[in-house]
This record gives sequence, structure tokens and C-alpha cells, in this order.
Amino acid sequence: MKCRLFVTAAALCATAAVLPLFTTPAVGAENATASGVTTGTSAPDFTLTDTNGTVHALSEFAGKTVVLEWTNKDCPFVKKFYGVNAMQGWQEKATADGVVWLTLCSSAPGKQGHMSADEWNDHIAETDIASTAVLMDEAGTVGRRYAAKTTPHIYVIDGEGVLRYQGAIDDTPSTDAADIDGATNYLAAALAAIDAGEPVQETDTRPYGCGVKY
Amino acid sequence: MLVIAAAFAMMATSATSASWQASAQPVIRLGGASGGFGTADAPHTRPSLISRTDAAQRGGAVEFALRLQLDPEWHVYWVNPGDAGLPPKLRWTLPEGVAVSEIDWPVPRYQKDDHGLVTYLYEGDVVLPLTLTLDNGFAGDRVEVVADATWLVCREACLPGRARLTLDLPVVDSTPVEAEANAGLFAAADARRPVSGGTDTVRRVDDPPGRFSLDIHASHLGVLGGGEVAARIMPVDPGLVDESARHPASWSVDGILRITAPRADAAAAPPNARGFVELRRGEHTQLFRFGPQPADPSH
Repeated sequence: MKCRLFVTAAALCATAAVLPLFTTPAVGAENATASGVTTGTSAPDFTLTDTNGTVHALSEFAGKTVVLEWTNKDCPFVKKFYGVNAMQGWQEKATADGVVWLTLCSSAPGKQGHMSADEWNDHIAETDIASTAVLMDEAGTVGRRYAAKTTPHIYVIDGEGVLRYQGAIDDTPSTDAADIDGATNYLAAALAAIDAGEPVQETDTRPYGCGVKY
Repeated sequence: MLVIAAAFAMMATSATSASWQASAQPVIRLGGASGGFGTADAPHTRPSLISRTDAAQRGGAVEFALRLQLDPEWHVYWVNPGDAGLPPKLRWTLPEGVAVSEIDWPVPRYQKDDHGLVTYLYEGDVVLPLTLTLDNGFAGDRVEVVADATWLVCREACLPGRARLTLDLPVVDSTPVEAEANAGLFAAADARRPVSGGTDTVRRVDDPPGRFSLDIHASHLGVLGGGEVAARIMPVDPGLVDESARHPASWSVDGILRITAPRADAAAAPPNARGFVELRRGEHTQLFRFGPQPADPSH
């Protein structure tokens, strides 16, 4: 099967198993303008350093369900979930269930939400963040590759590396924590569906939050 | 029944309350361009309810507005905020026999930043019109409506705002007079009010697949003439169009302006194809709305 690498076809080309010359490309190896991942296709691999200096690649978690959660600690929409320990509770539950939860920050240096690794570790301890790792993406490379637009912005990748959900964390755009309990939680629904081996019902929703501070 | 319900946060500590009678004096702001609006609950904003007339007519309708005076460089969002942000929301406490409509949104300013993030913004002295209607049988010589308002105001950072706002007007049985103090504010809102494109406006969703198009007849487009027109479709419901793409407009030989836009990727067409379209040629601008607009009064 021929595969011509136009920008729009790049994602499809990357996932075509019949192309022996290509593995799932790491960021930078494919067309530099590619942005956004179609749900139902392979999530692009990436490599980032966490707040403890450990380098992680998405591909190291093959076989596990992975949550990508974009964050900015000063955004009121992020504070909505972290202020009442809702996000931390979901992180704890998911990781206890064997899900890998990666919290990413694509705030550029000098912009809101950007922190050094030390500042991050203090913040993680103070706020009981329970992710598997917090990854610093200050160049915005991974954020741009995934077209992460807001904080929060959620992606769920299954054990086969397929993106199964992207979008909002729930269906009630607001900055009010009182809205959390009554909202439909898309993240929880996606994780439950993947765990049960069922299709995810809502695969693409519009995320809400503050713009990522690239 | 409450309109545009939004959860009202538990902590309404020092909620700003502004009570505007129609004869109120215009605000004189001291402090200059560094910005002087705002309180802890309503940063960078002076919120109020203002009325177009000095009284409300029993059995009639009054146009009034949510006014948000914003510090320079700060903005609030349209009902579809775009990729980020949140629109202002009002939760009403109304007496018997009184209904309030949804906000009659003026056409916002479209912005696409260096990273492709699309937002629809209002800046400066923001006036968002609404309509209040009184039943014929409304008893009393005054009407008071109270709104719990919440909004998000942003520059680089975003800050939530909240206020409890009151509008109190005398009730009369004759046609009320315009409130001169507010005339300029409503005139500014009127300048951004979209008009209907007429019953001959045609919307095509996924026809052909992957496109949305809007046909507006030349008879509605006098100001623009026949030259090259720049267009921006602003959908009320995200998913109708790709909001970061260009929306080119071209004239057909029989005098119809067709504006086309790619549909948004992986999005089902929303049930209602509705929104605004802003058309520009040189310094001329025309603003249209298309599709059903939410404007029903509610008790």
C-alpha cells in the first residue's frame, strides 16, 4: 500500500502496519506541522523528563491504559478540580487500578503555570498529586503534537497505544467545584469502557479550561 | 423557573451589588488607564444591570442589559467562548408575572492567537442585552429583578467573577421614556447586533460532505456592494465549522454571496446550524445571524 506523506495523511501513514520502513514515529521524526491526533488511531510516542529527572517515553507503558492530563496550577478550571481534591482522588483510584496517569505541563518559561522541577515537587507534595509522573513539556512539543488546547485537557490511550478519548474531563464547563458531582465524567466513563473491553461512548468532546500557555 | 442556571457558589461573601435605576448618573471613573475596576469577587470588572428605558410598562417588554465594564486588555467571552474560556451566566430571582429572556448576544470579536487557539471576545464597556416582560396583570408599582451573575475575565490569566445584581424600575401603564444616561451604551450594543439574513438565506450542512455553507442574497448586502468580501462564521454550537480555518466568501452570477467553511474534524453536526456571520469589505461591516436563536423568555 502506497503511503504519500502529505500533512493530513501523516497520522494514517504512521499507523499503517504494512509499512516496514516506519515505526510509530517519535515527535520530530514525522512532519513537523502535524498537530492533533484522530481518536481511534495510534497515539504518537513522545519522550519527556519528569520532575525527578527520570526520562519517560509513552511507549514504555505499552500494555497499560494511559491518561494524559494537561495542567496549569494557576488556571481557575484546574483549581476547580484540585482545590477539592477531586483530581487527586481520580489519580489515586486510576493508578491503584493499574492505569498510568501522566500529568503534563506545557506552560512555557515565564508563562502562567510554569515551574521548575523543584517547585513542581513541592507543589506535588503540598497538594497530594497522585499521578504516576508529572512531565515537563516547557517547549510545548508534546502539547502541540497532541493539539492540547486547554487546561485541563484529557486524553486516554489504551494498552494497544490507540487513542480512545480526547476532550473535556466532564460535561459541565464552569470554574465551580460544586458542579463536579452532578456532571457526567467523560474520563471515568472512558476508563470504565476500556476496562470492560467495550467501545467508549463519547470519544471526542470539546475541552474547556484556560488556553495552554505555550 | 430560572434562566441560564449556573451553580451559584457557596461563598458569596462580599458580593458586589449594584442597583441601577434608569435615571442613575453615568459612572465617573477615577484612576486613569491603569485600571480601577473590580473587587476581590469581581476582579477587573464593574458589573451592573442597566435599563434602556426609565420604567417598565405593565403588559410590555423592557430592554435592559448586563453591563460589564472591564479594565483595559481584559476580556469576557461569547456564549460559544471558543477553545478556551467561559461565557457570563445569569441566574434570576424573579417576582410573579415577570419573565427574562436569554442574553441577546452582540457579535463578538473573533481572535485566533499565535498557537491557533480560537476565542470570541468582548472588551471594554461590555453591554449584553436582555428583555424583561411583565404580564398585564402584574401587580405593584415597582418591579425588581435580581441576578446572580458569574463570568470569567481574562487577559493572560483568567479570573472568575461573581456578583449579585439588582434592577429596580417603576412600573407604568404608558410607553416608558428612554433612559438618556444609558443611550450611548445601548447604541454601542446595537452597532454589533446581527440582523436576520432573511428567509431566503440557505444553510447547507455536509452538503457536500465536510463543508458548511451559507447563502445570503445580495438584496440584504447593500452596504457591501459586489466586491471582495471577507467572512467569518461564528457558530453558536461548536462542531458546525472548523473555527480556525478560513471561511471564504464568493459571489454567484445571480447575486448570492456564498460563505463556505470546512466542518470541524470528527464532530457530528450539531442539531441546529446557527450562529453569526461577520462580513467585511473595506471599512464596511455587516453582521448577520443564521438559524434559530435562543431568545425565549422564561419565568
